Amino acid sequence: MIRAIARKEFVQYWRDGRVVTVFGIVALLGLAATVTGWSAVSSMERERASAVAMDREIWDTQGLKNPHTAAHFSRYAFQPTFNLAVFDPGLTDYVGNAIWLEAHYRDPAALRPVEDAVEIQRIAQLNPAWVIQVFGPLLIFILLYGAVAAERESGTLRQLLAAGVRPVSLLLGKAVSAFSLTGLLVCGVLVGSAIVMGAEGIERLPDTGWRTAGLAALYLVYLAIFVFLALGVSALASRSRTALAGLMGVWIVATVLGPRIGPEVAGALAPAPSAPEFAARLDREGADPFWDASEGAVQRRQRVMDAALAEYGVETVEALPINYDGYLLQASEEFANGVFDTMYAELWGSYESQRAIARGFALVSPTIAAQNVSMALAGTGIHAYRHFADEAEAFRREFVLLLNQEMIDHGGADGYAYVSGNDFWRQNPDFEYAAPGIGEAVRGVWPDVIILVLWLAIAIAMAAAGVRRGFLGEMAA
Amino acid sequence: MTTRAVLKHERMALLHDRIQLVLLGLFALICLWASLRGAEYREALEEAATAFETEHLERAADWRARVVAVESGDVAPEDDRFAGLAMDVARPAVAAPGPLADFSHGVTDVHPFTSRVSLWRSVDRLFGNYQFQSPNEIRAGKLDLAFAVLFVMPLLMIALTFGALSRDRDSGRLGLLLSHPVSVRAVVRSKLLVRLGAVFAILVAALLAGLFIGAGGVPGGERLGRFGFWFLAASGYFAFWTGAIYWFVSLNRKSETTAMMMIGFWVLNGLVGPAVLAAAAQLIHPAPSQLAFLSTAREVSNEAYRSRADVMQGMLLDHPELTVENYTIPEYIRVSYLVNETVDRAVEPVLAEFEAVQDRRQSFLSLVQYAAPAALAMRSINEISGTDLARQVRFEGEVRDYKRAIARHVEAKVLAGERLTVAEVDAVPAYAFRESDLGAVGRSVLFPVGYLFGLGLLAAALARRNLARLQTRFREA
Amino acid sequence: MLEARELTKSFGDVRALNALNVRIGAGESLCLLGANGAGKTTTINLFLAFIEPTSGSALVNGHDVQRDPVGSKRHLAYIPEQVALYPSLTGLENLEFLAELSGHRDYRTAELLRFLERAGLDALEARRRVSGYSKGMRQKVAIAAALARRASAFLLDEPLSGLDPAAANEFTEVLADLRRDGAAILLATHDIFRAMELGTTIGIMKSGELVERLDPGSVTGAELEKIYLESMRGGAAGAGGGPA
Repeated sequence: MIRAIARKEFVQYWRDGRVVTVFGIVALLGLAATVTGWSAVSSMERERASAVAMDREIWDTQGLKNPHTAAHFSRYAFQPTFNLAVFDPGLTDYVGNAIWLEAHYRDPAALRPVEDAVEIQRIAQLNPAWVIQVFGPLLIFILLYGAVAAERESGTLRQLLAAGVRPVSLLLGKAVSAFSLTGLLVCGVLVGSAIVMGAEGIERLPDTGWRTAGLAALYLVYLAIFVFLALGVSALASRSRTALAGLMGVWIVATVLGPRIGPEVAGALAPAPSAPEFAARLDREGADPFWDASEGAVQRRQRVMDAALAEYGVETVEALPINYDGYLLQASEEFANGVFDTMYAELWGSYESQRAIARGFALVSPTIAAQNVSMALAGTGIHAYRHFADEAEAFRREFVLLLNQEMIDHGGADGYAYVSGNDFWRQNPDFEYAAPGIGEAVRGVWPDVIILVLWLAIAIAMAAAGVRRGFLGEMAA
Repeated sequence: MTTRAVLKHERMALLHDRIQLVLLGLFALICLWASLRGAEYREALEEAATAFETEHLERAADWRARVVAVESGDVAPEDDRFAGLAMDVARPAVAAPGPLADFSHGVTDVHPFTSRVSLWRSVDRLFGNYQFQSPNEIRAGKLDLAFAVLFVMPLLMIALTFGALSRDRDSGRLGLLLSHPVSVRAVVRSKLLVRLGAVFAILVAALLAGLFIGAGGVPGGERLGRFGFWFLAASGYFAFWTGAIYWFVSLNRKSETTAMMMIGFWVLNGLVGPAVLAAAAQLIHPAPSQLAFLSTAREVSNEAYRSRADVMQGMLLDHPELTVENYTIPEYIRVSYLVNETVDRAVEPVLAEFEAVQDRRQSFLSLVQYAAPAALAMRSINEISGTDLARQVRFEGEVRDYKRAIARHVEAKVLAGERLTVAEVDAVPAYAFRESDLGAVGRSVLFPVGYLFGLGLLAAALARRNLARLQTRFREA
Repeated sequence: MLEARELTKSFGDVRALNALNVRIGAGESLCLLGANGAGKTTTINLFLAFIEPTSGSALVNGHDVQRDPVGSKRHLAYIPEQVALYPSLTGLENLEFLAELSGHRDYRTAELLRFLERAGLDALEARRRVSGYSKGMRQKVAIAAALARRASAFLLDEPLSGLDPAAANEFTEVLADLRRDGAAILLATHDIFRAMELGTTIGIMKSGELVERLDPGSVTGAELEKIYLESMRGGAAGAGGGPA
């Protein structure tokens, strides 16, 4: 019975020019998005690879230089764009590609691709995940708005009833046909992305297999939500016209307005620190309290000196067996690190609370939750970015320490005049970034997963109730 | 006369249709929210700009006071060795938010608008660490008046009008209506007049509210002039959609089909069009690699630093008059200046290429934007608001030129290691960002906005023809 | 007055109406009988200018409906098989709207109610929403609208199908009144009995042709039925021709 219904649906889709047109357009968009994604990711990776090599080369050949001067010149941590960014670039364009690992300062990631982007890209960015998130539901709604309502209008529902069709069969028959058509789209786009993801020069995320499976599961659940929603609305609406209008409303709120209004309201309720203000504070609070002429700073430096003298058991700085300038610099570094920890915790915290508020809007827009999970799985979400930034910061601290230590240990009384050479630079380590595995990647998005499952449950219940009511209504008619 | 009956009937129908009223109310609410938040946003930008400028002008004033003190003999020159040090000249360069940045945030949320111009920084480092905005927020985009007008308004127009003719048609009333001495054109026109008139009334009210809210009172001349153009552009976009809707309605299809066609058009115009155009612009005119730019700047800087003896030699060959005796200023200052000069010169062609690419993209988009009116309208609106990418590119270029101007002004003194006199300090050029004048903006947006009106009129003319045919053919099989 | 001159309509290869010539003067009514697809509705649609004739012309009170599709309807009333009104409005409000559509904006409520009453709808019913109306009640609103605009020509497309006998009877009486007051009526129907009762002329249509033209006074119901069935079965498309 379900098979008969599904087969009939397929024939109807095939004969409905609108369905064929929309499906064709969406498939084309998916293809174009995959190609664009591949082109973007592979060029970003190419550029990164050459930048990494260049960075090493420049570092190794800087010649004679004071290690702390070198720490100011320092090096860069370049964020890899991993394979799954082809499918869902997420925040890739909105976070910087490179973090400068300079002394005394924790830099934000600079070189955000969005700054080079043309302004209309801010309206919509073509990528495979977006195509599925936005157009998958639209296609489903077009396929299904008349699922029950049109059968009722044309009187065929009565006939089905007379033929002994059970509500659940009708529901499943319709669901299966629409779901398999859109599922085909998801799988097609995922497979397309997977093929180009394997291209040479694109870095693999750990657990790519699991992540891809997770994405497939995510989007199938996501589409299933809309399939059942459509069936429910179609069954509850008095006419197919009303069903379509209602579903278009759902689509607009879920995929267009929700994902914009959510973060907007979150930004209003939990404002992130203003960027210029934050930058200024970071500058000031990281350095002034240690270096300026204020009482506190003088005392702070005095304490450092006292500690050094005590540590080496000498009376004067001149008597120290180490390079005291280097020692003081490292102390300032450690002081600043504490400030950075506090301030960045505040910054990340504000992003996090914004996300929590925006997530509230997932109650009207499953797309918001799906986007969060999708970005997490693709390694392009806020947590992936934070992971990278934190790793880079940890490396910066080690690296600056290494350079200061060189000055402290070998600089003696030379002060800033002490210099190291290429032999030393060549020994210095590179920043090697290892992205987290899937377990850590999805840690922040469990609430989104739960929201999606809830949505699915509600949608199924609604569809079941709707179809049952539709049948009862028809029997009473 | 008969039109009046339809108008009256439609007015009553609109006032009694709860769903339509709710939709109109929601649109008004979104506009109000956008105005309030926009005003807040613009004010924050303005405050940040003013605070930055004030702080750095104060610093410059303090610095000047030291020069005055030395020059007047209040302080002995050897007691303030660095007073008037030419290398230390630093000035703020600020672009206050565009006159209507509250209406359309444009690219303001990702680009720097302040710079501390100092000879200690090479041109690639003139814009400090500003990348602290929440990536999620940037990705989601702002809910400004531009978004409300470009994306929400057409949705509302569609929701109110998709059944304008088809509801009468679907329910079989059209035959009865048209058996009266009334033309189908008059019926459709009256219906659209009432429904779209309500939308336009809200649009006008919202824009006027935005004008006053954003100005915090009576708006000034510049704002008023820009507002005039903004209003014209928004009206053009409204006219374009009105024409399109009139045409879709005139096709006399079933409600569902009409709704689907309109939504499909909205998607093509508002989502797919801009996404594809943006992708095409960036694919055809790829930006030079930011990472490669970074590497180049670093490499040149490293190279210049390493061969500083040669650099100095070159400088002295160029400026034999600067071979001064008794050079009392530390050598590294002169070296830094020359290294930065070298970097500036080296990156100049790359920066020029960045600007050229943006230029080429803008020209490309200026042509192809006619394929996606939403993209066209957005670009015009951003330009009118003073939040477009071209303005940003101009600002950044001007700041670099400004640095060069300061360098030219003090170069001899830097290289000679001499102090600046008060007169010389006072003659350091100042930077003021100038908005492009109203006439230029008007000329630039005239054609695109005219095109919107033209499209609207064309569509309306086609619709009129369709309806004229429909008058005597609406029952043709 | 309704007049068709060599009125012809083809849909592709199918000739839906072939050179129809009729003239229905004031106080006359032509009842068209015929099977589905015989051309009855096509004729009405042509008079309404809802479709374009392939050749020939349809005139209402002397106006060519193609040349002046709006003006020709000033005194024309059309009552389809299913009268669709605005369900959320009352019968009275629907009438007010329809009257205004015809340019009559000055009717007072009492006058409108009088039209409804003449059409057979009492004031109480008139103030109820149309969503609860039966088919017959909706037809009465349409008749009232015709009265309100002082229509002199009536096009009725199967108005009696689906009405219960009492309603059909009532409707027939109203129509007879209208005719006596000087209306020209063109009525398409399957109902031989009502056609006999209402028509001053009865026309039988087949495949787009008016094959018979009868005076109801000169035949009995049984004879008419026989002629009708015979003409359906075969018979030459003969008797068309001059004005009725």
